[in-house]
Amino acid sequence: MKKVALVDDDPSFGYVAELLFKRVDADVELEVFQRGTTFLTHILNREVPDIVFLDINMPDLNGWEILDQLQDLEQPPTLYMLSSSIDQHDVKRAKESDLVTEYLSKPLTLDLLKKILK
Amino acid sequence: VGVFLATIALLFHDSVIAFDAQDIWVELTALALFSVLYIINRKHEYTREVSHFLIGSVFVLLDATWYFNRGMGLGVALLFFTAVVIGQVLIDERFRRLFTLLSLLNMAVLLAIEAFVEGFFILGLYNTGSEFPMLTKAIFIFITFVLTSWVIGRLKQEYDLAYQLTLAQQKELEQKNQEIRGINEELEEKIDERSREVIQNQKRLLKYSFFHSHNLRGPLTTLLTIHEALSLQDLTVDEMSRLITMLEEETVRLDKEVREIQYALQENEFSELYHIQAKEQK
Repeated sequence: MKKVALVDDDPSFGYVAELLFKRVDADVELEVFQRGTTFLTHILNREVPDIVFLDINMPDLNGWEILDQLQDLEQPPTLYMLSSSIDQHDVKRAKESDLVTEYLSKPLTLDLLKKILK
Repeated sequence: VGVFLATIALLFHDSVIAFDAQDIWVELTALALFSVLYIINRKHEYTREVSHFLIGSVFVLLDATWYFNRGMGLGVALLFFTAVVIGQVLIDERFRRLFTLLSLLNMAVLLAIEAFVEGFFILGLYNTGSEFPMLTKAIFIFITFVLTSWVIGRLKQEYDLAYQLTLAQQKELEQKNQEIRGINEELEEKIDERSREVIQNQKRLLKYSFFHSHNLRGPLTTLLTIHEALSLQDLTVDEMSRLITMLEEETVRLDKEVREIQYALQENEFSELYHIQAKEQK
Protein backbone atom coordinates (compact mmCIF):
# COMPACT_ATOMS: atom_id res chain seq x y z
CA MET A 1 0.00 0.00 0.00
CA LYS A 2 1.30 3.40 -0.98
CA LYS A 3 1.27 6.09 1.64
CA VAL A 4 0.29 9.47 0.28
CA ALA A 5 0.44 12.83 2.07
CA LEU A 6 -1.41 15.96 1.00
CA VAL A 7 -0.17 19.19 2.54
CA ASP A 8 -2.76 21.95 2.02
CA ASP A 9 -4.08 24.59 4.40
CA ASP A 10 -7.51 24.71 2.73
CA PRO A 11 -9.73 22.16 4.61
CA SER A 12 -12.31 22.14 1.84
CA PHE A 13 -9.73 21.16 -0.71
CA GLY A 14 -8.41 18.51 1.64
CA TYR A 15 -11.89 16.97 1.99
CA VAL A 16 -12.59 17.00 -1.76
CA ALA A 17 -9.18 15.52 -2.42
CA GLU A 18 -9.98 12.66 -0.01
CA LEU A 19 -13.21 11.95 -1.92
CA LEU A 20 -11.34 11.82 -5.19
CA PHE A 21 -8.54 9.66 -3.78
CA LYS A 22 -11.08 7.05 -2.66
CA ARG A 23 -12.28 6.69 -6.26
CA VAL A 24 -8.90 6.13 -7.83
CA ASP A 25 -9.04 2.36 -7.35
CA ALA A 26 -5.45 2.25 -6.33
CA ASP A 27 -3.95 0.79 -3.20
CA VAL A 28 -3.27 4.11 -1.49
CA GLU A 29 -3.71 5.55 1.96
CA LEU A 30 -4.09 9.34 2.12
CA GLU A 31 -3.22 11.53 5.03
CA VAL A 32 -4.06 15.25 4.84
CA PHE A 33 -1.96 17.84 6.68
CA GLN A 34 -3.35 21.37 7.03
CA ARG A 35 -0.19 22.76 8.59
CA GLY A 36 3.33 22.57 7.21
CA THR A 37 4.84 22.16 10.68
CA THR A 38 2.67 19.15 11.46
CA PHE A 39 3.70 17.54 8.21
CA LEU A 40 7.39 18.23 8.85
CA THR A 41 7.20 16.72 12.33
CA HIS A 42 5.51 13.68 10.85
CA ILE A 43 7.97 13.14 8.02
CA LEU A 44 11.11 13.83 10.03
CA ASN A 45 10.16 11.87 13.16
CA ARG A 46 7.80 9.13 12.09
CA GLU A 47 7.77 8.04 8.50
CA VAL A 48 8.41 9.27 5.03
CA PRO A 49 5.37 8.74 2.76
CA ASP A 50 5.77 7.36 -0.75
CA ILE A 51 4.09 10.27 -2.44
CA VAL A 52 3.65 13.89 -1.29
CA PHE A 53 1.39 16.57 -2.77
CA LEU A 54 2.61 19.93 -1.53
CA ASP A 55 0.75 23.25 -1.71
CA ILE A 56 2.79 26.44 -1.97
CA ASN A 57 0.86 29.29 -0.33
CA MET A 58 0.31 28.37 3.28
CA PRO A 59 0.28 30.56 6.39
CA ASP A 60 2.84 28.93 8.71
CA LEU A 61 5.36 27.32 6.38
CA ASN A 62 5.06 27.65 2.64
CA GLY A 63 5.76 24.85 0.20
CA TRP A 64 9.25 26.05 -0.65
CA GLU A 65 10.28 26.26 2.98
CA ILE A 66 9.03 22.71 3.57
CA LEU A 67 10.94 21.60 0.48
CA ASP A 68 14.13 23.10 1.92
CA GLN A 69 13.65 21.03 5.06
CA LEU A 70 13.33 17.85 3.01
CA GLN A 71 16.66 18.26 1.22
CA ASP A 72 18.57 16.07 3.65
CA LEU A 73 16.21 13.09 3.61
CA GLU A 74 17.99 9.86 2.73
CA GLN A 75 15.00 8.50 0.86
CA PRO A 76 12.91 11.41 -0.27
CA PRO A 77 9.31 10.83 -1.38
CA THR A 78 8.00 11.26 -4.90
CA LEU A 79 7.01 14.88 -4.61
CA TYR A 80 4.42 16.87 -6.54
CA MET A 81 3.80 20.55 -6.08
CA LEU A 82 0.02 21.01 -6.12
CA SER A 83 -0.91 24.65 -6.04
CA SER A 84 -3.48 27.12 -7.33
CA SER A 85 -0.59 29.31 -8.44
CA ILE A 86 0.00 29.65 -12.16
CA ASP A 87 2.97 31.92 -11.59
CA GLN A 88 5.81 31.05 -13.93
CA HIS A 89 8.33 31.71 -11.16
CA ASP A 90 6.78 28.88 -9.15
CA VAL A 91 6.76 26.55 -12.16
CA LYS A 92 10.40 27.36 -12.89
CA ARG A 93 11.43 26.90 -9.29
CA ALA A 94 9.71 23.52 -9.16
CA LYS A 95 11.50 22.42 -12.31
CA GLU A 96 14.86 23.48 -10.89
CA SER A 97 14.35 21.48 -7.71
CA ASP A 98 15.69 17.90 -7.67
CA LEU A 99 13.03 16.81 -5.21
CA VAL A 100 10.03 17.88 -7.27
CA THR A 101 8.79 15.34 -9.80
CA GLU A 102 6.23 17.62 -11.38
CA TYR A 103 4.46 20.88 -10.90
CA LEU A 104 0.68 20.36 -10.85
CA SER A 105 -1.65 23.27 -11.13
CA LYS A 106 -5.05 23.03 -9.39
CA PRO A 107 -7.87 22.07 -9.87
CA LEU A 108 -7.35 18.42 -9.01
CA THR A 109 -9.15 15.95 -11.28
CA LEU A 110 -9.80 12.28 -10.99
CA ASP A 111 -8.04 11.63 -14.29
CA LEU A 112 -4.95 13.39 -13.10
CA LEU A 113 -4.92 11.43 -9.87
CA LYS A 114 -5.36 8.13 -11.70
CA LYS A 115 -2.54 8.97 -14.01
CA ILE A 116 -0.21 9.72 -11.14
CA LEU A 117 -1.14 6.95 -8.75
CA LYS A 118 -1.44 3.99 -11.11
CA VAL B 1 42.54 130.42 -14.16
CA GLY B 2 42.26 130.99 -17.90
CA VAL B 3 40.00 134.00 -17.48
CA PHE B 4 42.20 135.42 -14.75
CA LEU B 5 45.40 135.11 -16.72
CA ALA B 6 43.80 136.33 -19.94
CA THR B 7 42.47 139.38 -18.13
CA ILE B 8 45.91 140.10 -16.72
CA ALA B 9 47.39 139.63 -20.18
CA LEU B 10 44.86 142.08 -21.60
CA LEU B 11 45.61 144.59 -18.87
CA PHE B 12 49.26 144.28 -19.66
CA HIS B 13 48.47 144.61 -23.35
CA ASP B 14 46.47 147.76 -22.93
CA SER B 15 48.74 149.58 -20.55
CA VAL B 16 52.18 148.13 -20.60
CA ILE B 17 52.78 145.46 -23.16
CA ALA B 18 52.58 146.05 -26.85
CA PHE B 19 52.32 142.49 -28.02
CA ASP B 20 49.79 140.60 -30.11
CA ALA B 21 46.44 140.62 -28.41
CA GLN B 22 44.56 138.55 -30.95
CA ASP B 23 45.16 135.18 -29.27
CA ILE B 24 43.91 136.47 -26.02
CA TRP B 25 40.77 137.84 -27.60
CA VAL B 26 40.08 134.58 -29.31
CA GLU B 27 40.59 132.70 -26.11
CA LEU B 28 38.43 134.98 -24.07
CA THR B 29 35.64 134.84 -26.65
CA ALA B 30 35.74 131.07 -26.78
CA LEU B 31 35.85 130.82 -23.06
CA ALA B 32 32.86 133.10 -22.69
CA LEU B 33 30.88 131.21 -25.34
CA PHE B 34 31.57 127.86 -23.77
CA SER B 35 30.87 129.05 -20.30
CA VAL B 36 27.45 130.13 -21.54
CA LEU B 37 27.00 126.83 -23.36
CA TYR B 38 28.01 124.92 -20.29
CA ILE B 39 25.73 126.90 -18.00
CA ILE B 40 22.79 126.37 -20.36
CA ASN B 41 23.40 122.68 -20.73
CA ARG B 42 24.61 121.70 -17.31
CA LYS B 43 21.31 120.21 -16.21
CA HIS B 44 21.21 117.55 -18.89
CA GLU B 45 23.64 114.76 -18.61
CA TYR B 46 24.32 114.20 -22.28
CA THR B 47 24.45 117.84 -23.32
CA ARG B 48 26.68 118.53 -20.34
CA GLU B 49 28.98 115.83 -21.56
CA VAL B 50 29.03 117.42 -24.98
CA SER B 51 29.73 120.86 -23.54
CA HIS B 52 32.50 119.46 -21.49
CA PHE B 53 33.88 117.87 -24.56
CA LEU B 54 33.62 121.10 -26.55
CA ILE B 55 35.29 123.22 -23.89
CA GLY B 56 38.16 120.79 -23.67
CA SER B 57 38.43 120.63 -27.41
CA VAL B 58 38.44 124.37 -27.91
CA PHE B 59 41.19 124.87 -25.40
CA VAL B 60 43.26 122.37 -27.23
CA LEU B 61 42.46 124.15 -30.47
CA LEU B 62 43.52 127.44 -28.93
CA ASP B 63 46.73 125.84 -27.80
CA ALA B 64 47.22 124.81 -31.38
CA THR B 65 46.45 128.29 -32.63
CA TRP B 66 48.96 129.68 -30.20
CA TYR B 67 51.67 127.42 -31.52
CA PHE B 68 50.58 128.15 -35.06
CA ASN B 69 50.81 131.90 -34.53
CA ARG B 70 54.25 131.53 -33.06
CA GLY B 71 55.40 130.04 -36.35
CA MET B 72 55.31 126.47 -35.23
CA GLY B 73 53.30 125.48 -38.25
CA LEU B 74 50.02 124.07 -39.35
CA GLY B 75 51.27 120.57 -38.56
CA VAL B 76 51.20 121.19 -34.84
CA ALA B 77 47.70 122.63 -35.06
CA LEU B 78 46.47 119.63 -37.00
CA LEU B 79 48.20 117.34 -34.54
CA PHE B 80 46.29 118.96 -31.73
CA PHE B 81 43.08 118.81 -33.69
CA THR B 82 43.52 115.10 -34.36
CA ALA B 83 44.47 114.51 -30.76
CA VAL B 84 41.28 116.20 -29.66
CA VAL B 85 39.06 114.18 -31.96
CA ILE B 86 40.70 110.86 -31.15
CA GLY B 87 40.86 111.69 -27.48
CA GLN B 88 37.25 112.75 -27.25
CA VAL B 89 35.82 109.91 -29.25
CA LEU B 90 37.86 107.00 -27.99
CA ILE B 91 38.48 107.66 -24.36
CA ASP B 92 35.77 107.39 -21.80
CA GLU B 93 34.16 110.01 -19.66
CA ARG B 94 36.70 110.11 -16.85
CA PHE B 95 39.62 110.67 -19.21
CA ARG B 96 37.64 113.22 -21.17
CA ARG B 97 37.36 115.32 -18.02
CA LEU B 98 41.06 114.93 -17.35
CA PHE B 99 41.75 115.85 -20.94
CA THR B 100 39.72 119.03 -20.55
CA LEU B 101 41.51 119.86 -17.35
CA LEU B 102 44.92 119.34 -18.90
CA SER B 103 43.99 121.47 -21.89
CA LEU B 104 42.81 124.17 -19.56
CA LEU B 105 46.04 124.05 -17.57
CA ASN B 106 48.05 124.09 -20.74
CA MET B 107 46.16 127.15 -21.92
CA ALA B 108 46.77 128.83 -18.61
CA VAL B 109 50.49 128.13 -18.84
CA LEU B 110 50.60 129.44 -22.39
CA LEU B 111 48.75 132.56 -21.34
CA ALA B 112 51.17 133.01 -18.51
CA ILE B 113 54.06 132.73 -20.92
CA GLU B 114 52.32 135.18 -23.21
CA ALA B 115 51.71 137.62 -20.42
CA PHE B 116 54.79 137.38 -18.30
CA VAL B 117 57.62 136.14 -20.43
CA GLU B 118 57.08 136.98 -24.05
CA GLY B 119 55.20 140.15 -23.18
CA PHE B 120 58.10 141.58 -21.24
CA PHE B 121 60.71 140.64 -23.76
CA ILE B 122 59.00 142.05 -26.84
CA LEU B 123 57.75 145.10 -25.02
CA GLY B 124 57.43 148.00 -27.47
CA LEU B 125 59.35 146.24 -30.16
CA TYR B 126 56.68 144.45 -32.13
CA ASN B 127 53.08 144.83 -33.33
CA THR B 128 51.42 143.01 -36.27
CA GLY B 129 48.75 145.65 -36.56
CA SER B 130 46.24 143.38 -38.21
CA GLU B 131 44.14 141.81 -35.49
CA PHE B 132 40.95 141.46 -37.43
CA PRO B 133 41.87 138.78 -40.05
CA MET B 134 43.47 136.68 -37.36
CA LEU B 135 40.40 136.92 -35.17
CA THR B 136 38.11 136.07 -38.10
CA LYS B 137 40.24 133.12 -38.92
CA ALA B 138 40.21 131.98 -35.33
CA ILE B 139 36.44 132.29 -35.07
CA PHE B 140 35.98 130.42 -38.35
CA ILE B 141 38.18 127.59 -37.13
CA PHE B 142 36.39 127.67 -33.85
CA ILE B 143 32.94 127.36 -35.44
CA THR B 144 34.07 124.59 -37.74
CA PHE B 145 35.57 122.81 -34.83
CA VAL B 146 32.53 123.27 -32.66
CA LEU B 147 30.32 121.83 -35.36
CA THR B 148 32.63 118.92 -36.00
CA SER B 149 32.98 118.26 -32.31
CA TRP B 150 29.26 118.50 -31.82
CA VAL B 151 28.55 116.03 -34.60
CA ILE B 152 31.19 113.64 -33.31
CA GLY B 153 29.97 114.03 -29.76
CA ARG B 154 26.43 113.45 -30.90
CA LEU B 155 27.41 110.34 -32.83
CA LYS B 156 29.37 109.06 -29.89
CA GLN B 157 26.44 109.73 -27.63
CA GLU B 158 24.07 107.83 -29.88
CA TYR B 159 26.52 105.03 -30.23
CA ASP B 160 26.92 104.83 -26.46
CA LEU B 161 23.19 104.84 -26.03
CA ALA B 162 22.72 102.12 -28.63
CA TYR B 163 25.55 100.14 -27.09
CA GLN B 164 24.05 100.47 -23.65
CA LEU B 165 20.67 99.46 -25.03
CA THR B 166 22.22 96.44 -26.69
CA LEU B 167 23.96 95.61 -23.45
CA ALA B 168 20.72 95.97 -21.55
CA GLN B 169 18.90 93.83 -24.09
CA GLN B 170 21.62 91.24 -23.98
CA LYS B 171 21.43 91.20 -20.22
CA GLU B 172 17.67 90.86 -20.37
CA LEU B 173 17.94 88.09 -22.93
CA GLU B 174 20.46 86.30 -20.75
CA GLN B 175 18.16 86.68 -17.78
CA LYS B 176 15.19 85.35 -19.73
CA ASN B 177 17.29 82.46 -20.98
CA GLN B 178 18.25 81.65 -17.46
CA GLU B 179 14.62 81.84 -16.40
CA ILE B 180 13.64 79.49 -19.20
CA ARG B 181 16.45 77.14 -18.27
CA GLY B 182 15.25 77.23 -14.70
CA ILE B 183 11.68 76.51 -15.75
CA ASN B 184 12.87 73.69 -18.00
CA GLU B 185 14.89 72.15 -15.24
CA GLU B 186 11.95 72.43 -12.90
CA LEU B 187 9.69 70.83 -15.48
CA GLU B 188 12.14 68.03 -16.12
CA GLU B 189 12.39 67.42 -12.42
CA LYS B 190 8.62 67.32 -12.15
CA ILE B 191 8.36 64.96 -15.09
CA ASP B 192 11.01 62.72 -13.56
CA GLU B 193 9.22 62.77 -10.27
CA ARG B 194 5.89 61.95 -11.90
CA SER B 195 7.52 59.21 -13.96
CA ARG B 196 9.05 57.72 -10.86
CA GLU B 197 5.68 57.89 -9.11
CA VAL B 198 3.89 56.31 -12.04
CA ILE B 199 6.47 53.55 -12.34
CA GLN B 200 6.36 52.90 -8.64
CA ASN B 201 2.56 52.85 -8.65
CA GLN B 202 2.61 50.56 -11.63
CA LYS B 203 5.01 48.26 -9.86
CA ARG B 204 2.88 48.27 -6.76
CA LEU B 205 -0.25 47.67 -8.80
CA LEU B 206 1.42 44.78 -10.57
CA LYS B 207 2.56 43.33 -7.30
CA TYR B 208 -0.88 43.86 -5.91
CA SER B 209 -2.75 42.28 -8.83
CA PHE B 210 -0.25 39.43 -8.78
CA PHE B 211 -0.90 38.84 -5.10
CA HIS B 212 -4.66 38.93 -5.60
CA SER B 213 -4.69 36.70 -8.63
CA HIS B 214 -3.05 34.18 -6.32
CA ASN B 215 -5.71 34.76 -3.71
CA LEU B 216 -8.48 34.52 -6.28
CA ARG B 217 -7.23 31.30 -7.71
CA GLY B 218 -7.30 29.64 -4.25
CA PRO B 219 -11.11 29.44 -3.84
CA LEU B 220 -11.60 29.21 -7.58
CA THR B 221 -9.54 26.02 -7.96
CA THR B 222 -11.21 24.55 -4.88
CA LEU B 223 -14.58 25.28 -6.50
CA LEU B 224 -13.44 23.54 -9.67
CA THR B 225 -12.24 20.55 -7.64
CA ILE B 226 -15.61 20.44 -5.83
CA HIS B 227 -17.26 20.43 -9.21
CA GLU B 228 -15.06 17.51 -10.19
CA ALA B 229 -16.12 15.64 -7.04
CA LEU B 230 -19.81 16.42 -7.62
CA SER B 231 -19.62 14.56 -10.90
CA LEU B 232 -18.68 11.35 -9.09
CA GLN B 233 -21.38 8.70 -9.46
CA ASP B 234 -21.28 7.02 -6.06
CA LEU B 235 -21.49 9.96 -3.66
CA THR B 236 -23.38 9.37 -0.42
CA VAL B 237 -26.02 11.83 0.71
CA ASP B 238 -23.71 13.08 3.46
CA GLU B 239 -20.85 13.60 1.05
CA MET B 240 -23.15 15.34 -1.40
CA SER B 241 -24.58 17.70 1.22
CA ARG B 242 -21.10 18.51 2.56
CA LEU B 243 -19.89 19.27 -0.94
CA ILE B 244 -22.84 21.61 -1.48
CA THR B 245 -22.12 23.41 1.79
CA MET B 246 -18.50 23.76 0.72
CA LEU B 247 -19.60 25.03 -2.63
CA GLU B 248 -21.40 27.85 -0.89
CA GLU B 249 -18.48 28.52 1.48
CA GLU B 250 -15.96 28.70 -1.33
CA THR B 251 -18.24 30.91 -3.40
CA VAL B 252 -18.52 33.29 -0.46
CA ARG B 253 -14.73 33.18 -0.08
CA LEU B 254 -14.30 34.03 -3.71
CA ASP B 255 -16.77 36.88 -3.45
CA LYS B 256 -14.86 38.18 -0.41
CA GLU B 257 -11.61 38.22 -2.36
CA VAL B 258 -13.23 40.12 -5.22
CA ARG B 259 -14.73 42.61 -2.81
CA GLU B 260 -11.37 43.11 -1.13
CA ILE B 261 -9.74 43.90 -4.44
CA GLN B 262 -12.47 46.34 -5.31
CA TYR B 263 -12.20 47.96 -1.89
CA ALA B 264 -8.43 48.22 -2.09
CA LEU B 265 -8.55 49.82 -5.50
CA GLN B 266 -11.11 52.38 -4.44
CA GLU B 267 -9.94 53.28 -0.96
CA ASN B 268 -6.33 52.36 -0.54
CA GLU B 269 -3.08 53.49 -2.08
CA PHE B 270 -4.33 52.85 -5.60
CA SER B 271 -7.32 55.12 -5.33
CA GLU B 272 -5.48 57.78 -7.34
CA LEU B 273 -4.69 55.39 -10.15
CA TYR B 274 -8.20 54.01 -10.00
CA HIS B 275 -9.63 57.50 -10.43
CA ILE B 276 -7.24 58.32 -13.27
CA GLN B 277 -8.29 55.17 -15.04
CA ALA B 278 -11.96 55.92 -14.39
CA LYS B 279 -11.48 59.40 -15.83
CA GLU B 280 -9.73 58.06 -18.91
CA GLN B 281 -12.55 55.64 -19.46
CA LYS B 282 -15.07 58.44 -19.35
